Amino acid sequence: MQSLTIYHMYPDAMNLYGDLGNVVTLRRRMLERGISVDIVNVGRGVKADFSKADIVFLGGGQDRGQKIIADDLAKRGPAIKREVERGLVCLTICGGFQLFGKYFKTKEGEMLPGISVFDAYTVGSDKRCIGNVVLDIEAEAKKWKSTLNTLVGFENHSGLTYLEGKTRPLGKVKIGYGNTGDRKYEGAVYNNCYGTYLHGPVLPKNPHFADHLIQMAINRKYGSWARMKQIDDRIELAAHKAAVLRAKTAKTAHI
Amino acid sequence: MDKKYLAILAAKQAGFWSRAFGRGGGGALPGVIAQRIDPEINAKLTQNLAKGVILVTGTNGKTTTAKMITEILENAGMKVLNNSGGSNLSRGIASALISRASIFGSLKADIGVYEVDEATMPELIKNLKFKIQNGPSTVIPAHQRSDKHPAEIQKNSDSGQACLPARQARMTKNKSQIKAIMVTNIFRDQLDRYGEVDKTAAIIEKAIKDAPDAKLILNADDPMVASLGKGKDNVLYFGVQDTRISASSELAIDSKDCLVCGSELNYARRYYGHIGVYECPNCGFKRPNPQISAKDIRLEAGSITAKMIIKRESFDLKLPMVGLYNIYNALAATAAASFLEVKSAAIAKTLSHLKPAFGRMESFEKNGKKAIIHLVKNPTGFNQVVEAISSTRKPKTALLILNDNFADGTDISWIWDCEYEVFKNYFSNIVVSGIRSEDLRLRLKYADVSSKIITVKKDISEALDTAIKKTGPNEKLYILPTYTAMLELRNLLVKEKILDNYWT
Repeated sequence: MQSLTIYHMYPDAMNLYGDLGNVVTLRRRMLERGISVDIVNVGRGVKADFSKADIVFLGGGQDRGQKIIADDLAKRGPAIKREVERGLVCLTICGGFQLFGKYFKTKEGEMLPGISVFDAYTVGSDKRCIGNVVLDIEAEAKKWKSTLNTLVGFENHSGLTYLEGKTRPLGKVKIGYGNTGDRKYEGAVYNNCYGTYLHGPVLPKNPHFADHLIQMAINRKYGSWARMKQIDDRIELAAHKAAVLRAKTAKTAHI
Repeated sequence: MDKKYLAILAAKQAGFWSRAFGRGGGGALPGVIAQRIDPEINAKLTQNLAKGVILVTGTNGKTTTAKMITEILENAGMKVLNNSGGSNLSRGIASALISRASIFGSLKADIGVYEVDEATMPELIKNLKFKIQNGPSTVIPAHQRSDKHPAEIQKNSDSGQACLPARQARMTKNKSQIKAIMVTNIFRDQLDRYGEVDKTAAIIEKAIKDAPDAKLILNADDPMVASLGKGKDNVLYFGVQDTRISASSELAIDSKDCLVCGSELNYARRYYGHIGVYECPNCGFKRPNPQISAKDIRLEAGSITAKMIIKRESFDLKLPMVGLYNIYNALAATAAASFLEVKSAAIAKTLSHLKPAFGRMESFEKNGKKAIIHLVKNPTGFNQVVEAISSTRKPKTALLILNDNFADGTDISWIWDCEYEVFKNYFSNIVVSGIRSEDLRLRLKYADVSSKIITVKKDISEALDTAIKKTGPNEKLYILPTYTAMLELRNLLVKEKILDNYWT
């Protein structure tokens, strides 16, 4: 029986927008395929060996939550980076995504160090990017062997993230603000590590994304390139479709 | 002529025509019109309330608490003006004022209890400041025309720098109409509007600086709220003193960190969410001792009993409501009433005979089936409602309605912080509805609720009919709508003459 270990990073400090739903989704989709799951909560000061992780998940948090975990994460930075080079699968959301870059310079000028997995940096701004998001991920979807070419979710961030070097965006913005607030690109990909501002949470309504993460983790651990079996996704796809439609009509909130 | 007369007249007319054409009670419309004609209408009319106003803000419990205060004060013989059944934005308050004002601007009320949206607090408090107008005979020095603290202006006139005529001196003295500001709690709610939970606290903190004379009535058990009173002495705290109550859920803890220094708080007891008895190990910030408290709390099937303590007095309370959160609402209302010197026996009597507020646990019967509406708009409120539902073991049907309009919060990710997992233990049928019904359907799947008991009907009217049909003869239908879904549902029920229109 295949089994995977998920490291859920700082589940207390970094869970603002139902991010736990991402872990719930990964777990359920593994169990439905007969893959057993071990979820390890990695809090501040908890010992963790990243060579034993198959998927690392880091959610979003408030500025305060980020400040609290930044130092602890920085200590783990080299170990996480080493494993990412070896193909460790990561999903980071919003505040977590920012800290996987080089740094986050807040609006007040404070520097929060990141762990530089992504060749990216984030700068706080006065503008808050809030609203439904639809991404065109055609380029990625080809690699995922997915027939669904969109990701859908909700963004809420004032930090603007700029990508450099070998880090590429996850998708093109069809609806929403994106990384830099200019409606161009969203998210980041480096090796098997993903970052995005999308919550909602992102995985339940984007089952192709969830499956891609699981598939990569299985490939890395077992070397099997056989496609995982398809499971009944009618409810997930209906929610995906409805959310894409809603994104076109919903009014954006302003603060 | 003062613009306010024109504003009142135009707004009253708009309200009349709106009602005549059956568009609810006109809701916010009269307020919008009045404010457009006279932006100072709230300040001018509020000025006529002899006993001033109390502002009620916070994430959960505003409506119920404001209603409790209103009823206590009314039973104590006061004429109360509130904005229940309407909007809690500035324009909603203007609408409420207009509806009780004569065309000459006098009010049929002597005290205001305003429920205020958290993000509206800064605007409203500034709004309520009475600006001294240039009288025909006197020119007021520029430094006194500003938004200065009344005490400061007083000080200036005492020192003889300026002599205000008697009428204007009176206005200056009456300038601070805000007698008390109450904050019930601060939870995760509509982050799409406020950005972050911390920002909500910061918005309120900044807003209350503009009303330095107001008494603060604060929830001692919510560290976010209690920290608003740090270093101030004009504060009345309320809280629960009961060692037998503790939270069953680890979910929906929005804030475990000290707002003063950022360290993780130690909890001696946690009642629910981040509400409890806490202390910061680093900076020493801790839960203040509440002057108004509740102990010996018993949560029963249809009611709650508790011993309420007001300083050295106490009374026994039997509240015809469920859920620990309603004890907090009752505590908050008791604190406000005792601040206004209402006797404790009178408070006890009113609270024991309460009827639910608009959409909060309103009961009705349709086609012989019993149903109850619980407004649900954030995880903490949701989990509390679930706690209430789970207090009886009888079979139940649920109608869940999720909308994502502005007033609901456009971000619906909060449903993933709600414990839908417990639903499979309590409901024999679940109907999901609303703009985001597909999201709810998905959430229930991942909560392991069997698809056999779930029906999706996006349209609320159809969903209601289906849910009523599915409700068994001995069952009760629990309806959990978000805000705009609740309004739509109530409109349907008002049309069928099952519920009353709140605005008539």
